[in-house]
Amino acid sequence: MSDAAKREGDPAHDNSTIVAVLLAAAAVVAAVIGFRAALLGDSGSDTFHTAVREDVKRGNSIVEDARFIYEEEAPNALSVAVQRIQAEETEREAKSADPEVRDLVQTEASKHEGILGIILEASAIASEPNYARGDGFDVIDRLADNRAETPELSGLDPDATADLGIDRSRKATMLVAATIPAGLAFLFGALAQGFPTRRRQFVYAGFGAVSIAVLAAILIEVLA
Amino acid sequence: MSPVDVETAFPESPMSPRFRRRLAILVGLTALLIPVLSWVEAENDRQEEQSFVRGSRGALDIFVRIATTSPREQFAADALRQSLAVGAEGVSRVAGSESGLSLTYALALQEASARAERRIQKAGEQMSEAPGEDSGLDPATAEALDSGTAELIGLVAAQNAAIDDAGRYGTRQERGLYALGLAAIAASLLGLAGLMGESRAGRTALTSATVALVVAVGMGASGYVF
Repeated sequence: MSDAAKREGDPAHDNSTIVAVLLAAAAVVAAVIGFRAALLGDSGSDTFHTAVREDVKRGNSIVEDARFIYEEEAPNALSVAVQRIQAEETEREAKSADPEVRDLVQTEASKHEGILGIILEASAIASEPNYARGDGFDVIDRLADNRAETPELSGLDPDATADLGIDRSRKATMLVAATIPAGLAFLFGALAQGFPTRRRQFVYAGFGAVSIAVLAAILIEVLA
Repeated sequence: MSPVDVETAFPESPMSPRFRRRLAILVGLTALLIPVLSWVEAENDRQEEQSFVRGSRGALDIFVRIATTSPREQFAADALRQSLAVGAEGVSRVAGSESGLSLTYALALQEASARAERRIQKAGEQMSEAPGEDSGLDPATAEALDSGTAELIGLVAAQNAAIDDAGRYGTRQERGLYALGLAAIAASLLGLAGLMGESRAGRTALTSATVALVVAVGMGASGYVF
């Protein structure tokens, strides 16, 4: 008897084609799902890194704007406020002062007014009437205007970018999990070869597992 | 020359049904184990990266909050100092004056200075106050400017926890990857066992593959236990 003839009579080799088809289908499904998972995972990872980059950009711009306003512009504005208040209070005192010293007090008030006139124009906050508030100035309003000058930085939302990365990465690992039924199909395919008497059941179960893998991948792709 | 049938070109390796069943089960289990370990590796890699990103962004957030709040607080302190200096100047002038005209003059200026001190203090407080809800600032800047010490302590704890999480997930991921390698070795050994059949070498390959698979499962699971 030839080998081929022996194989035909051997139950282990009956319908072995269908087992091969099952294994090939499982491999193809696993490869396609794995490829999609790798693409999504890579995209998720890139998005995470983008979130960090955006956070660095936004953070630096916040720090620099706060430093500029509170260390450069606000102190100048405060100096203006100090001179103005001193000028007003000294002027007020001059009006009610003893006539002997009234001129001297008035001179002191003029000194503050003189300084005020010099430093007022140098202050970006104090020279802008919109920022005046009580005896001082609205520094927060000035900071908001300064931030608005760089909308490409103040408008960054790294949290949203990170959330997008989380979604993509989670979807990618869910797709990797969807290859487990394809692995199960391999198990059934191997058992079909090892247990020829139950081959039919194992093959059915194997194709069922492949179908589950495909269905799971589609559901993850559409719903997740 | 007659054509060669690849199916029958080589004689099939001799193996008993028992050996065949054992081989089939191990091949199947290996095929199932590989995607499971791949998922373990991928999931923990994702969690590790996510934790690292959370930790990095947390560290940045802490730095930004400190670096943003400090100039505001420094400005508030400077404004207070400036107001006190104005008040102190008036008092010093009185203390340094003799009686008569100079004292009258000093007292007049001290009155003005005392009132100015209070107004400057108020102006400084107002200029250095934290942004309100309707400040017009973008939320990130408003949040950074309004950070307090208690908040920073919470952020530091969360940042440390994220880095610890990254370490834990990293260990699981590395062990999953190692287990995946062992599963691949087991698959190769099973292939060899299939080729060599139920010979001494074939049995050795089958036993080695079994051991490799058991170790792979243990290694993959160990990251969740230790």
